[in-house]
Amino acid sequence: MDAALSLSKVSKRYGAFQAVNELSFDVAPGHIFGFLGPNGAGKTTSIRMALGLVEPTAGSISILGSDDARKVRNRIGFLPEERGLYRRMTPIEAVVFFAGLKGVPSSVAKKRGIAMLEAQGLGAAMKRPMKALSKGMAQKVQLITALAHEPDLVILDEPFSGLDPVNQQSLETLIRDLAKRGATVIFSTHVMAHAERLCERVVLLAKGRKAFDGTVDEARAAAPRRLILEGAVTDDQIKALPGVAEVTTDEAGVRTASLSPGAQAYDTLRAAFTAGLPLTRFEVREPSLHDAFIVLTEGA
Amino acid sequence: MFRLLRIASREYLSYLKTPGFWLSLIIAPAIGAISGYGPIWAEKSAPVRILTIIDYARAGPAVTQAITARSSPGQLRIVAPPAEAAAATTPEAARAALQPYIAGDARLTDGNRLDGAAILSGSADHLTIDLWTRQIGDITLSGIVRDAGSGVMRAQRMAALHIDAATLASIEATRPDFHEFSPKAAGGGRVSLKDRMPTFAALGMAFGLWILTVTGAGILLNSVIEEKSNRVLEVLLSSASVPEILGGKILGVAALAATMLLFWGGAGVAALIRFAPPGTAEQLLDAVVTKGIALEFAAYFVLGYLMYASIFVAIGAFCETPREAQTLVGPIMIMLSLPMIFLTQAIKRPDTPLLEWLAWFPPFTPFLMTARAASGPPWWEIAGTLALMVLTSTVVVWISARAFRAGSLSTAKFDLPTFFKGIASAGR
Repeated sequence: MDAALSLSKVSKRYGAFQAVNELSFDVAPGHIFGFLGPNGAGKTTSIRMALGLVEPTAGSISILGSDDARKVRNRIGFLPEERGLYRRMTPIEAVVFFAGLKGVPSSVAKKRGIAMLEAQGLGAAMKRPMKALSKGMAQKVQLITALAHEPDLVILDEPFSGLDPVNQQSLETLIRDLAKRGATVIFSTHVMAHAERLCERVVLLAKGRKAFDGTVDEARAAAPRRLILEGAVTDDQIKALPGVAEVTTDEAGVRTASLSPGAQAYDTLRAAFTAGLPLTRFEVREPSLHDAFIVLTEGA
Repeated sequence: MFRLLRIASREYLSYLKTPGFWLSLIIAPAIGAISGYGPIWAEKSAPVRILTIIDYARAGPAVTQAITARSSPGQLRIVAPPAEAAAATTPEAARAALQPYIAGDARLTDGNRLDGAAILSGSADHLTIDLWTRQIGDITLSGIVRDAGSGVMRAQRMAALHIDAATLASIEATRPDFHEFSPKAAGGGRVSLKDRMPTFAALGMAFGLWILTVTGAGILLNSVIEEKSNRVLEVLLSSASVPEILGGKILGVAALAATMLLFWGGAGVAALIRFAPPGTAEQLLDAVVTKGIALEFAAYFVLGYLMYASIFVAIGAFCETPREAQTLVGPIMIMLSLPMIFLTQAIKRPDTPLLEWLAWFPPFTPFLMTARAASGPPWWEIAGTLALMVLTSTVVVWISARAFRAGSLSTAKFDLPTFFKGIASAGR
């Protein structure tokens, strides 16, 4: 099956500044895909290139089987990083207008818009001007305007920023529902927890270059596993254990030992018992995507 | 195409719903009516001027009669001078006696203020008139008194030549049997009001074109700035192409301008039917249609509006506040104002070489050629300027589309180098 989005050696240069450098990745249809990276990594530029808003300096892009996003724009839903709507428009007018631009007849868009707004708890605000809505409500409305035409591919640029925890949770549910419906969802974020919970695959971007491309588990594997240790021991005693690469101690005296790649926690534990170290805590902590993010981007 | 129409429709309706649009729709004709009739109403409602005459020239009642004859009813009242001024034996003494009255420090016996005093000296056939007025700017009063003085002196001199008043009046009333002809006039070449109608229509349309262009371009500029600052442009760009957005916005505001034009035009025709001599409105409409002014107006309006609207949209795409836009809008507004200086001349002497040359300068072409339309410029001039406008508008729209695309997604602070760099880099 063709990829919903495929970038091949895509670069973008603004004068002397290389915003994106030879970026390649594929997004399988029907999947939730995370596009990760620190601020200024080139995520928004890459999304704009994918959408045909900005032309790449080099490389090729295929989106929903087309080499030009503008030809398939009716099948794409897009939520930009910097959000905003017409201040005098009401939410239902906004949904009808933007869905209309994607080819949805006004009557259908209105029907869908009402249902979606009500589902998001915006039924009462439906006919109030946007300028009278709270920031969170306005963000929800904008998300609905991006989805009302039932797109096959949904691209959300930093969709969680500015949302409170309840709305973040509600957005995660919405993204899962979109994928269940069969849509491909690509979202960019620099908050790893969302990606960890939602994504099947992630691409990590750092300084315009791809730092990682794979599953969340594969990303986690790139970061060292850690041991959390407590007891009347010294750093040197811990460092002497097999597989331990580095030890740090926090203010409370809790030690964190990083394991070398391939090292087994079981071997370290056995060596600690054999050496008779008086440990009161020995906890194996699997790396999070956040840990992987730090490791994968720090060298970039 | 449907996206273009959707954007146009949103643009049109969003302004149509604002109270500002309806206010401007009503206020513009009101301002026109006020500027036309305002001075007349003001003059009519002004208090009657009170004038006194002290006659050391022994001109007699002739001056009083002449002044009364030259003033409209309710405009002026001549009263006897205050006693101390009447008793003065010299013009200087009279002036000194009148001073407090003219300055407003003293009032006449009936409690009124004195607005002016004419002190006549010399002789009846060579008057010296010293007019003292309370209002320096009241040139109406000074004009009436000066004309009356001239009339009295002329009558005196004619009397010295034994020409009586009746003969003098008949001489002064003599006019040639004047007829004006022009090969361009209808009906045997004799020029009538109907023949002059196209000139008035062309002048009105050139003004209308200018107002619509300025209004439309201003609306577009603010609309794009609002979309840029509200971050709507990026969503629009992901939903429609640049030509669709640009075209939709320009078309929507053009429809708005057309609504204004129809309303104002209708109001103008209604005013002509109500207040002008019978048949004037019909003659005007006939002139606009038969002379082809309407067609020329439409062609120059479309091209001129497209050119200026595209420029303003492109500028708006780079700016988040109107203040940022001022850097470029200022010079363009000055450029837009320049043809207005030549507009009256373009009506009176459309064949002035300077105007013929200026009409080929695309930023001026729509206004000057519309104004010159009534004089029937040669076909090659119309065709040539239209062709040049088509070419210029195409280039301007192309550049503006690139600038719009670059500016919409740019977060850089607006300045001229950024603007031109954006145009150069768009699409790469």
